[in-house]
Amino acid sequence: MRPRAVAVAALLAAGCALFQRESRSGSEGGAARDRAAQPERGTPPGPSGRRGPARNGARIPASPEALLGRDDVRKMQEALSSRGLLGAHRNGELDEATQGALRRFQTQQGLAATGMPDRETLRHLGVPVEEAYGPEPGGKG
Amino acid sequence: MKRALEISALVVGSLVVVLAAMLVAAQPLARWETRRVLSRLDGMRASFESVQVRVADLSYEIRGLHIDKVDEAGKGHPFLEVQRVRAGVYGHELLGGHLVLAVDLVEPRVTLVESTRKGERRTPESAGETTRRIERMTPLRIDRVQVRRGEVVWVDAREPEKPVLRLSAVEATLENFASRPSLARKQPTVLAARALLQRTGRVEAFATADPLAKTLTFAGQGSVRGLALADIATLLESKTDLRVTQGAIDVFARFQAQDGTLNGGVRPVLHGAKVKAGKPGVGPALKALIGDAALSIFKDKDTGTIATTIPIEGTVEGPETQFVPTVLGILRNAFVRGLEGGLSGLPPPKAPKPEGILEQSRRALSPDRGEPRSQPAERKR
Repeated sequence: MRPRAVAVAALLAAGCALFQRESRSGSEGGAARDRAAQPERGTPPGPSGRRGPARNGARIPASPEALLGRDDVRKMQEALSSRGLLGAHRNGELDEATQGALRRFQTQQGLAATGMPDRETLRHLGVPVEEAYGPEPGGKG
Repeated sequence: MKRALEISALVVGSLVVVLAAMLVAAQPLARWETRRVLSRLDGMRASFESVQVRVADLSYEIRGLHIDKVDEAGKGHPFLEVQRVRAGVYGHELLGGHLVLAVDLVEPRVTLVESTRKGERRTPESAGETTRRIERMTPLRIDRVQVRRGEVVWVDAREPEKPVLRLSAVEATLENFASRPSLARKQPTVLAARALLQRTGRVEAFATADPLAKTLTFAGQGSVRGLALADIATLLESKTDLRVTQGAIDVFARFQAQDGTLNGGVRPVLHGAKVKAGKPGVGPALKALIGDAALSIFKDKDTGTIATTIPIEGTVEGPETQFVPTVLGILRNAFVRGLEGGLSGLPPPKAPKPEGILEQSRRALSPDRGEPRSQPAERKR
C-alpha cells in the first residue's frame, strides 16, 4: 500500500512540475516566441493612422475605420439593415448613420451604446469577429 | 455485487449532499467574503444591497454597492456607487483550460475630488515593468468590460468655487485584455467610449493597444463636440479671470505611441466665442487645473505658436504607463490643450491707441509684429 501511495505522490508531483513549467514557458518563453514569430510590420502611421504598429501580430490602428475593412463594415451595415435599423446604406463606410444604427442596436441588445463596432456587437450581428479584428483588415484575418 | 452497488450509491449520495450544501452555502459565503474584502479597503467605508453567485453561468453579481471615502473626522464622502456589477467566467473557455472573464457595470458613479498638493508624484514605473507585471499574472483574458449609463464627477476642492466637471451617460467598453500573447489571439486591446461632458459636449474616444509590448504601444483618437463654453464658465473663472459669455468649442485629437514615443495632434475649433476679460496664462492655469502633474505625457518640443493643429510630441516612459490611465490621460490633456489653443488670444489685447487699417493688416500678416489687437472705441465728440 505504501509504495503505491509513494508512486502516486511522485506522479502527482511530476505532473505539477510539468504544468508549472508549461505555464511559465507560456508567460516567458511563450511571450518571446510570439514576438519572435511575428516580424515587425509596417511603419508608424502619421496622423491618419491607417496602418498601425504591429506587435504580437496585432494591428494597432487609431480609428475604428482603420481597424475594420470595408467588407466588414458592409457586412455590418447589411446586418443592421436587415434588422430595420439602417436604411439603404451600404457604402462600407463607418459614417454617422451607421454609428447611430449601431447605438440603437447596442441599446436593444443591452450592450454599451458606444456606436463603435466592438467584438460583442459584431458577434450579436453575426459578423465574423476573428476576420474583422484579425491581422489583416477586410476579412483576411 | 450488492456491496459495490451500495458503495456507489453512497458515493453518489454523498456527492449530491455536498453539492447541495455548496449551493445552499454559496450565497451566504459570497456575502460574507464580499463583506470581508470590502471591510479591508483602506480609508473607505463600503456597503451593498445584495450579492448573488450563479453556479449555472459561473457569475458573481453585486447590487447597490456604495463606497465612501472616510476623512480624518470620520465623515464619509461618496467615491463609488454602482447599481450593479456582474462578473462572469466563460464556461466553455474554462473547459479548454483558459480563464476568460467578462464584467458588466451598470450605472457606476465615480466622484473624484482633487485635493492633492502640487508636485506630488507617484513612483515611476517603466513600461517594461508593467509588461512583466502583466505577464506574472495568472494566465487570463478579460474578454470584455462594459460600462452602461456611467458617470464621472470631478470636483476641484482646491478652489473656493469648487468647480465641477461631469461626464455623464458614459457608455464604454474595454475588450481583449490578455495577460499572455497567446491568449490575445493576435488581436489588439480595444477601448471605446462615448459620453456627455457637462450638458453639451459630446465625447467620443477610441483606442487600440498592445499591453504586452515591451514599450507601451497604442493608438487612438478622441473628440469633444459642441461643448458650450458657458458649461465650463465656473471652471474657467475659478482659475483665470476669463469670463465666457457664449460660444462653443470642438476638440479633436489623434495620437499614437510606439517605442515610447508619442506623436499626433490636437485640433480645437472655436465657434462664436465671446469673453469679457482675460489675463495671460490661461493655458498654464488650465493645465494646472485639469492636467495631472504626475502624468507628464506632453513634453512638447515646440510650445510656441498655436497652429490650427497643435502637434503632440513626447514620451510615454513617464510615471503612468498602463494602457487605460495613459490613454485617458492623453485624452484629458488633449482636451486641455485644445481648450487652451482655442481660447488663446481671446479676448485679443487692446491697442493703446487706434491703429489704422494698414497697421492692423501689417500686424495680422506678420507674426513677428505680435498678435492682432482690438481697437479702442473712438470717443464721442
